[in-house]
Amino acid sequence: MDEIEVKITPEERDLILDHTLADEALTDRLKIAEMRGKYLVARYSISDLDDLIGFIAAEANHTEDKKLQKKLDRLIDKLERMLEE
Amino acid sequence: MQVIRCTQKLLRELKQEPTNVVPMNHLLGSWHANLLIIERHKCVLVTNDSTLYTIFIPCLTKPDFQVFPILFGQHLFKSLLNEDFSQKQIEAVLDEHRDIQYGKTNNRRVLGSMNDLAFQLKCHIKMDGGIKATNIPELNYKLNRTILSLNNYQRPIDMLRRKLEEINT
Repeated sequence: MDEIEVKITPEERDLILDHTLADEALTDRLKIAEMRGKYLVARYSISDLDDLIGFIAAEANHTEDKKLQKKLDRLIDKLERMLEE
Repeated sequence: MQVIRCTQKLLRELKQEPTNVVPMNHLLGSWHANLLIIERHKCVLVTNDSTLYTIFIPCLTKPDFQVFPILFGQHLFKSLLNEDFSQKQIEAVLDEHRDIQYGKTNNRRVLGSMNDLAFQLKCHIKMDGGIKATNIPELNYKLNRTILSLNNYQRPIDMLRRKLEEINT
Protein backbone atom coordinates (compact mmCIF):
# COMPACT_ATOMS: atom_id res chain seq x y z
CA MET A 1 0.00 0.00 0.00
CA ASP A 2 1.30 3.47 -0.91
CA GLU A 3 2.44 5.42 2.09
CA ILE A 4 3.05 9.11 2.44
CA GLU A 5 5.81 10.61 4.52
CA VAL A 6 4.14 13.19 6.72
CA LYS A 7 6.44 15.91 8.04
CA ILE A 8 5.03 18.10 10.75
CA THR A 9 6.45 20.24 13.52
CA PRO A 10 6.18 19.19 17.19
CA GLU A 11 3.67 22.06 17.63
CA GLU A 12 1.48 20.65 14.88
CA ARG A 13 1.75 17.19 16.43
CA ASP A 14 0.57 18.62 19.75
CA LEU A 15 -2.38 20.31 18.00
CA ILE A 16 -3.51 16.90 16.76
CA LEU A 17 -2.89 15.09 20.04
CA ASP A 18 -4.34 17.77 22.31
CA HIS A 19 -7.32 18.99 20.32
CA THR A 20 -8.69 16.26 18.09
CA LEU A 21 -10.62 13.09 18.83
CA ALA A 22 -8.65 11.08 16.29
CA ASP A 23 -8.34 7.37 17.07
CA GLU A 24 -5.15 6.18 18.69
CA ALA A 25 -4.57 4.04 15.62
CA LEU A 26 -4.02 7.31 13.78
CA THR A 27 -2.15 9.23 16.44
CA ASP A 28 0.08 6.64 18.12
CA ARG A 29 2.65 6.88 15.32
CA LEU A 30 2.93 10.62 15.97
CA LYS A 31 3.90 9.96 19.58
CA ILE A 32 6.88 7.91 18.50
CA ALA A 33 7.68 9.80 15.30
CA GLU A 34 11.32 10.22 14.33
CA MET A 35 12.70 13.76 14.59
CA ARG A 36 14.44 14.89 11.39
CA GLY A 37 15.78 18.41 11.69
CA LYS A 38 12.90 20.47 12.99
CA TYR A 39 10.25 18.04 11.72
CA LEU A 40 8.67 14.91 13.04
CA VAL A 41 8.29 12.27 10.36
CA ALA A 42 5.54 9.64 10.32
CA ARG A 43 4.20 7.44 7.57
CA TYR A 44 0.52 7.32 6.66
CA SER A 45 -1.48 5.44 4.06
CA ILE A 46 -3.72 7.66 1.90
CA SER A 47 -6.73 6.28 3.72
CA ASP A 48 -5.34 7.02 7.19
CA LEU A 49 -4.24 10.51 6.21
CA ASP A 50 -7.71 11.23 4.78
CA ASP A 51 -9.18 10.07 8.11
CA LEU A 52 -6.76 12.19 10.14
CA ILE A 53 -7.66 15.27 8.08
CA GLY A 54 -11.34 14.54 8.77
CA PHE A 55 -10.76 14.55 12.53
CA ILE A 56 -8.81 17.82 12.37
CA ALA A 57 -11.54 19.36 10.18
CA ALA A 58 -14.19 18.28 12.71
CA GLU A 59 -12.30 19.98 15.53
CA ALA A 60 -11.84 23.12 13.42
CA ASN A 61 -15.64 23.17 12.99
CA HIS A 62 -16.33 22.76 16.69
CA THR A 63 -13.86 25.12 18.30
CA GLU A 64 -14.95 28.61 19.24
CA ASP A 65 -11.32 29.66 19.57
CA LYS A 66 -10.61 31.49 16.30
CA LYS A 67 -6.83 31.27 16.73
CA LEU A 68 -6.99 27.53 17.20
CA GLN A 69 -9.34 27.24 14.23
CA LYS A 70 -6.82 29.06 12.02
CA LYS A 71 -4.00 26.81 13.19
CA LEU A 72 -6.07 23.70 12.50
CA ASP A 73 -7.09 25.04 9.06
CA ARG A 74 -3.45 25.68 8.16
CA LEU A 75 -2.55 22.16 9.27
CA ILE A 76 -5.35 20.69 7.12
CA ASP A 77 -4.07 22.66 4.11
CA LYS A 78 -0.57 21.34 4.73
CA LEU A 79 -1.69 17.71 5.06
CA GLU A 80 -3.95 18.00 2.00
CA ARG A 81 -0.98 19.23 -0.03
CA MET A 82 1.03 16.19 1.12
CA LEU A 83 -1.88 13.96 0.16
CA GLU A 84 -1.99 15.39 -3.35
CA GLU A 85 1.75 15.28 -4.02
CA MET B 1 -24.35 18.40 -14.34
CA GLN B 2 -23.24 17.92 -10.78
CA VAL B 3 -19.92 17.43 -8.98
CA ILE B 4 -19.14 14.95 -6.22
CA ARG B 5 -15.96 16.00 -4.46
CA CYS B 6 -14.24 12.85 -3.23
CA THR B 7 -11.51 12.17 -0.71
CA GLN B 8 -8.30 10.73 -2.16
CA LYS B 9 -9.07 7.24 -0.91
CA LEU B 10 -12.48 7.28 -2.60
CA LEU B 11 -11.03 8.62 -5.87
CA ARG B 12 -8.62 5.69 -5.83
CA GLU B 13 -11.46 3.24 -5.30
CA LEU B 14 -13.44 4.85 -8.12
CA LYS B 15 -10.31 4.82 -10.31
CA GLN B 16 -11.13 8.34 -11.38
CA GLU B 17 -9.07 11.46 -11.94
CA PRO B 18 -10.66 14.56 -10.44
CA THR B 19 -11.80 17.33 -12.76
CA ASN B 20 -11.91 21.05 -12.07
CA VAL B 21 -15.43 21.42 -13.45
CA VAL B 22 -17.72 23.84 -11.64
CA PRO B 23 -21.44 23.15 -12.04
CA MET B 24 -23.10 26.13 -13.77
CA ASN B 25 -26.76 25.77 -13.07
CA HIS B 26 -27.62 24.17 -9.79
CA LEU B 27 -30.34 23.79 -7.26
CA LEU B 28 -28.44 21.90 -4.58
CA GLY B 29 -24.82 22.42 -5.63
CA SER B 30 -21.94 20.02 -5.24
CA TRP B 31 -21.52 17.13 -2.82
CA HIS B 32 -18.60 15.73 -0.84
CA ALA B 33 -18.06 11.98 -0.55
CA ASN B 34 -15.89 9.80 1.63
CA LEU B 35 -15.11 6.11 1.73
CA LEU B 36 -15.77 4.41 5.08
CA ILE B 37 -14.81 0.87 5.97
CA ILE B 38 -17.36 -0.58 8.36
CA GLU B 39 -17.07 -4.20 9.45
CA ARG B 40 -14.82 -4.74 6.41
CA HIS B 41 -17.50 -3.43 4.08
CA LYS B 42 -16.77 -0.50 1.79
CA CYS B 43 -19.39 2.17 2.28
CA VAL B 44 -19.72 5.71 0.95
CA LEU B 45 -21.01 8.74 2.79
CA VAL B 46 -22.20 11.54 0.49
CA THR B 47 -23.08 14.97 1.89
CA ASN B 48 -24.51 17.95 0.05
CA ASP B 49 -22.39 21.07 0.53
CA SER B 50 -25.20 23.59 0.84
CA THR B 51 -27.63 21.68 3.07
CA LEU B 52 -25.49 18.88 4.57
CA TYR B 53 -28.23 16.50 3.46
CA THR B 54 -26.54 13.10 3.65
CA ILE B 55 -26.86 9.74 1.98
CA PHE B 56 -25.10 6.68 3.35
CA ILE B 57 -24.55 3.95 0.77
CA PRO B 58 -23.49 0.67 2.43
CA CYS B 59 -21.60 -2.43 1.32
CA LEU B 60 -20.37 -1.49 -2.14
CA THR B 61 -18.67 -4.07 -4.32
CA LYS B 62 -16.08 -3.44 -7.04
CA PRO B 63 -18.70 -3.27 -9.84
CA ASP B 64 -20.72 -0.78 -7.77
CA PHE B 65 -17.82 1.69 -7.88
CA GLN B 66 -17.75 1.46 -11.67
CA VAL B 67 -21.36 2.64 -11.86
CA PHE B 68 -21.27 4.90 -8.85
CA PRO B 69 -23.14 7.85 -10.48
CA ILE B 70 -26.09 5.54 -11.23
CA LEU B 71 -25.96 4.04 -7.75
CA PHE B 72 -25.85 7.49 -6.17
CA GLY B 73 -28.84 8.60 -8.29
CA GLN B 74 -30.82 5.57 -7.12
CA HIS B 75 -30.03 6.19 -3.46
CA LEU B 76 -30.80 9.89 -3.83
CA PHE B 77 -34.14 9.03 -5.40
CA LYS B 78 -35.05 6.56 -2.65
CA SER B 79 -33.96 8.98 0.05
CA LEU B 80 -36.07 11.85 -1.33
CA LEU B 81 -39.04 9.52 -1.76
CA ASN B 82 -38.62 8.34 1.82
CA GLU B 83 -38.71 11.97 2.96
CA ASP B 84 -42.04 12.55 1.15
CA PHE B 85 -40.82 15.12 -1.33
CA SER B 86 -43.20 15.70 -4.23
CA GLN B 87 -42.64 14.14 -7.63
CA LYS B 88 -41.91 17.60 -9.04
CA GLN B 89 -39.23 18.23 -6.41
CA ILE B 90 -37.63 14.80 -6.86
CA GLU B 91 -37.53 15.23 -10.64
CA ALA B 92 -35.92 18.66 -10.30
CA VAL B 93 -33.16 17.26 -8.07
CA LEU B 94 -32.55 14.17 -10.19
CA ASP B 95 -32.47 16.31 -13.33
CA GLU B 96 -29.32 18.06 -12.18
CA HIS B 97 -27.70 14.75 -11.27
CA ARG B 98 -27.94 13.12 -14.69
CA ASP B 99 -24.30 13.89 -15.45
CA ILE B 100 -21.94 13.52 -12.50
CA GLN B 101 -18.28 14.54 -12.49
CA TYR B 102 -15.76 13.84 -9.77
CA GLY B 103 -13.69 16.54 -8.15
CA LYS B 104 -11.26 16.97 -5.28
CA THR B 105 -12.51 17.97 -1.85
CA ASN B 106 -12.51 21.73 -1.42
CA ASN B 107 -14.47 22.42 1.73
CA ARG B 108 -12.92 21.43 5.04
CA ARG B 109 -16.04 22.53 6.94
CA VAL B 110 -18.12 19.97 5.08
CA LEU B 111 -15.41 17.34 5.64
CA GLY B 112 -15.47 18.10 9.37
CA SER B 113 -19.25 17.71 9.49
CA MET B 114 -18.97 14.43 7.61
CA ASN B 115 -16.53 13.21 10.24
CA ASP B 116 -19.18 13.87 12.90
CA LEU B 117 -21.85 12.15 10.80
CA ALA B 118 -19.55 9.15 10.28
CA PHE B 119 -19.11 8.85 14.05
CA GLN B 120 -22.87 9.01 14.56
CA LEU B 121 -23.66 6.44 11.91
CA LYS B 122 -21.06 4.03 13.30
CA CYS B 123 -22.74 4.36 16.73
CA HIS B 124 -26.19 3.71 15.21
CA ILE B 125 -24.87 0.65 13.34
CA LYS B 126 -23.28 -0.70 16.51
CA MET B 127 -26.50 -0.20 18.49
CA ASP B 128 -28.50 -1.91 15.74
CA GLY B 129 -26.28 -5.00 15.95
CA GLY B 130 -24.12 -4.51 12.88
CA ILE B 131 -24.35 -3.17 9.36
CA LYS B 132 -26.38 -6.10 8.02
CA ALA B 133 -28.97 -5.60 10.75
CA THR B 134 -29.22 -1.87 10.20
CA ASN B 135 -32.22 -0.39 8.41
CA ILE B 136 -30.40 1.98 6.01
CA PRO B 137 -33.36 4.27 5.09
CA GLU B 138 -33.99 4.71 8.81
CA LEU B 139 -30.30 5.44 9.38
CA ASN B 140 -30.32 8.10 6.65
CA TYR B 141 -33.50 9.52 8.18
CA LYS B 142 -31.74 9.87 11.54
CA LEU B 143 -28.56 11.34 10.03
CA ASN B 144 -30.57 14.04 8.30
CA ARG B 145 -32.13 15.02 11.60
CA THR B 146 -28.78 15.62 13.28
CA ILE B 147 -28.10 19.25 14.07
CA LEU B 148 -24.74 20.46 12.82
CA SER B 149 -22.83 23.60 13.71
CA LEU B 150 -22.09 24.35 10.06
CA ASN B 151 -25.85 24.71 9.46
CA ASN B 152 -26.20 27.00 12.49
CA TYR B 153 -27.61 24.01 14.36
CA GLN B 154 -30.36 23.35 11.85
CA ARG B 155 -31.23 19.89 10.60
CA PRO B 156 -30.10 18.98 7.06
CA ILE B 157 -33.62 17.84 6.16
CA ASP B 158 -35.00 21.27 7.07
CA MET B 159 -32.30 22.99 5.00
CA LEU B 160 -33.19 20.77 2.04
CA ARG B 161 -36.94 21.36 2.42
CA ARG B 162 -36.31 25.11 2.39
CA LYS B 163 -34.22 24.79 -0.78
CA LEU B 164 -36.87 22.75 -2.54
CA GLU B 165 -39.85 24.78 -1.34
CA GLU B 166 -39.84 27.06 -4.37
CA ILE B 167 -40.22 24.12 -6.76
CA ASN B 168 -43.73 23.35 -5.61
CA THR B 169 -44.91 26.96 -5.99
